[in-house]
Amino acid sequence: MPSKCQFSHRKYSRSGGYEKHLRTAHASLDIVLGSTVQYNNTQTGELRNADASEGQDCDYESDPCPAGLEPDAFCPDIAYESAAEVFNTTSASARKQNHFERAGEVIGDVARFEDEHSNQCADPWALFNSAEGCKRGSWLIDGKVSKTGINDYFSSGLGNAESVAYSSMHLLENHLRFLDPYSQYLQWFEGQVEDGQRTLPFFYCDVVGCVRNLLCQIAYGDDLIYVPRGEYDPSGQTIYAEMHTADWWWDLQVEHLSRTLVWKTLAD
Amino acid sequence: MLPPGATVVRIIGISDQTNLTNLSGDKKAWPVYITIGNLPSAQRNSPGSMAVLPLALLPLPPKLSKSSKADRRQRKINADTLQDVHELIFARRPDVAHVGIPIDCAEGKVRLCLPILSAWIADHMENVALHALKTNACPKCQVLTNELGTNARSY
Repeated sequence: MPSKCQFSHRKYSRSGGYEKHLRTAHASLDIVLGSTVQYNNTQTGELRNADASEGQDCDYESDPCPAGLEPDAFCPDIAYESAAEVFNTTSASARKQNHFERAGEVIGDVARFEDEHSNQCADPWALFNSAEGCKRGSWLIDGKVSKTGINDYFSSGLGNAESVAYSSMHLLENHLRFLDPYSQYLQWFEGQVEDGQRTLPFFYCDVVGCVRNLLCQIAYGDDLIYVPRGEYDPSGQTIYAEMHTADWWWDLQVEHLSRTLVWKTLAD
Repeated sequence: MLPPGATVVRIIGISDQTNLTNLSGDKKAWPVYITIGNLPSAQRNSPGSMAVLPLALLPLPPKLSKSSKADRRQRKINADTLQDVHELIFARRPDVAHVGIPIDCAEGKVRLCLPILSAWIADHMENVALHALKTNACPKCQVLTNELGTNARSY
């Protein structure tokens, strides 16, 4: 049975590997739940030069996460432009700044977010009562034991249901669903389309559900970008790196949103 | 204008038709994947990050010959059908791109998000199939066939 870590978004086929990962990679929950995007100097209008010596390790070339600054900062020789800086330069840029200040604004808190994830970190085996329950479920799933076989296994008294916290395949499936609470957003639908001669089936998920699933993954908490940003080198040239540094993202936050979420946008 | 404080969620679509079997029915699949541009590219493109989700399995019409006029007409119908399927998948809730919807974010905060389809990753033959183009046509502009490649720039 694969175990999915909610914080690093990795799957482990063995409970031992999952347990080791939890002990080592998530020893401190504060790192995972830390706020990601903070613009502390947007009111001052000061140009900031990211200092590599102050930065901490990061996997991304364009996002070295300097301490005390934005986590998605760039390489050392790049000057960052805050909202106020844009406002003070040119009128065209100032238009971009209007919505930049309020882009990615938080409108509320997720209910019981801290409690749920704190409890999960405190007792990762809560569902199974013990590591043995996870290991046994993993063995049953990896061994491709049928649902009937798993039910027979417990009904015949071979399995200790109290120690593993499940006594049938149905309960085991419920535990698996709980391990991935965001899987509810990824429901598949079946559709049919007529091409004049025959009916062709196709399958699809809800686009918004997929977006919800990606945005709520705790593993991406430190990496998600909610606001556009201009990045410039010391000579003032724009550096295009990630999608949030592109001009059209700037423009979209200001200009009228005429494009819709339809297939026609692909023809642009 | 966007709603004040809105968060733009850049949707990136990925599709590619792929063979499943050879000489045993020539079975094919046409998967569509989705990811978001709000993730850094290194995170997004890492296989272990699981940042690319399967979105759809498109319908696959049977093979058609090029010579038959009826098949050419059927090919046009198939292209229109494909457009309809994409509209169904991507335009089920068009209001979300204008008004926005509150979405729970990873750090426990709720933001007003506007998911907008921004990019599509596909090779040339995939573009030909998606846009119902001729194979020697440019999917980006209306350049003539004999002038393909004349606007090439070196970076």
